[in-house]
Amino acid sequence: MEKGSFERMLRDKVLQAESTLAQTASKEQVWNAIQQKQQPKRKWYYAITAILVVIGVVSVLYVKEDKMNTVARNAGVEKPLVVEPLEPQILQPSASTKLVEGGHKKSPHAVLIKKLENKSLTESTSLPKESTAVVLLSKVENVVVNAAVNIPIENKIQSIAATLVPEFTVQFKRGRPADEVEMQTKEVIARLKKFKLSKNTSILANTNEKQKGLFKIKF
Amino acid sequence: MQLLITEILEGCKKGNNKAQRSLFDFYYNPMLNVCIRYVKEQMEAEDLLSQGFTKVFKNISQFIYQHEYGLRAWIKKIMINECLMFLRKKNNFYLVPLTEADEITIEDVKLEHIDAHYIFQCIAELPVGYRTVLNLYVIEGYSHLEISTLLNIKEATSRSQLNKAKEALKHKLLPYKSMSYGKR
Repeated sequence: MEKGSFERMLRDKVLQAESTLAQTASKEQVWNAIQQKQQPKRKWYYAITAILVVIGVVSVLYVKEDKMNTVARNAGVEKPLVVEPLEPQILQPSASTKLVEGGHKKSPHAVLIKKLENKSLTESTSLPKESTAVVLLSKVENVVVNAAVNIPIENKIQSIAATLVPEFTVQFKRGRPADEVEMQTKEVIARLKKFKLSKNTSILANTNEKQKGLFKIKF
Repeated sequence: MQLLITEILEGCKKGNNKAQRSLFDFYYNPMLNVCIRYVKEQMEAEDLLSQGFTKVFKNISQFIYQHEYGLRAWIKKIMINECLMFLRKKNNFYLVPLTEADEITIEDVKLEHIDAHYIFQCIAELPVGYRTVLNLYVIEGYSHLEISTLLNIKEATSRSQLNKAKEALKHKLLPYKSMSYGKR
């Protein structure tokens, strides 16, 4: 027999055996192994899809919040309003109620909410610009939040050189109807209450200026 | 049959589980035998088969169907590559003790009288170096140059391995008549 014919015959015999030899004992095991190898890929696919969906939803919500007309900026320019202690006669809720309820129906409205420290001004608390209160207020439509944090002031009573008084102000945009402003004011107060400012929250005074109101919020 | 295969193929391309199962059923036996021919051990062959089928299902969308033989050849090539990767990891063919290719006088063996399954079994029992070169050269039709690249050995080594493999195989096949294997 020639060398080449031996190889050819060998090849034919092997291919014949390959197609006729039946080995089915472990067929299901092999199939299960294939399925298991394919599953992790699917799991990764689902996990990545879920993450992308979550990112998408969060970004949509974030963009929605950004669309609200709120601007947070440092209100350091309004120092006098912060430093001066409140006069007792100013601390009347009725005055600012007027402001909100109907004193300035068609005039431009601006409501100033100022958070001061407790009466003695002995303690200093800091209200970061990114604090919950500012964020809450920022969510109110047509509100401008002026946040001034850690402004040093003289504390005459305690003779302490300087304390840090946090403050933030809220202004409504001008030209809004009175009802809307009233609603928004209530909403601001409601939001402040949520921020655990609830116990004695009241409108203490408004200034002579029609466009401004001064609020003192107690923790 | 061709319609059936094309339907199965389309299903596999879409990731259809039933179609994948049909393709697996269709090629399970021949491909398992290919793997056994290379790695001998049934367990190892099954592992390689599952890895091979996983690759088949992963890459089947790139396969362009012309005829059934082409599909079979494509799947078989994937299986052989899996086996070779496995063997390369496990064995360094370059270090297999070898002599240069000699002309070995091979005793005449009448293959036509020998049972195909017995021949298959004898090939599987050859040493790994002989078996791999014999499979690649005689059964798959690779050249010695291609084999030298695939196994990272010299071309002369491939020739030598082949001659020795054939000699060893014939020695295994000689007692077949006396055993009358598969003749009853």
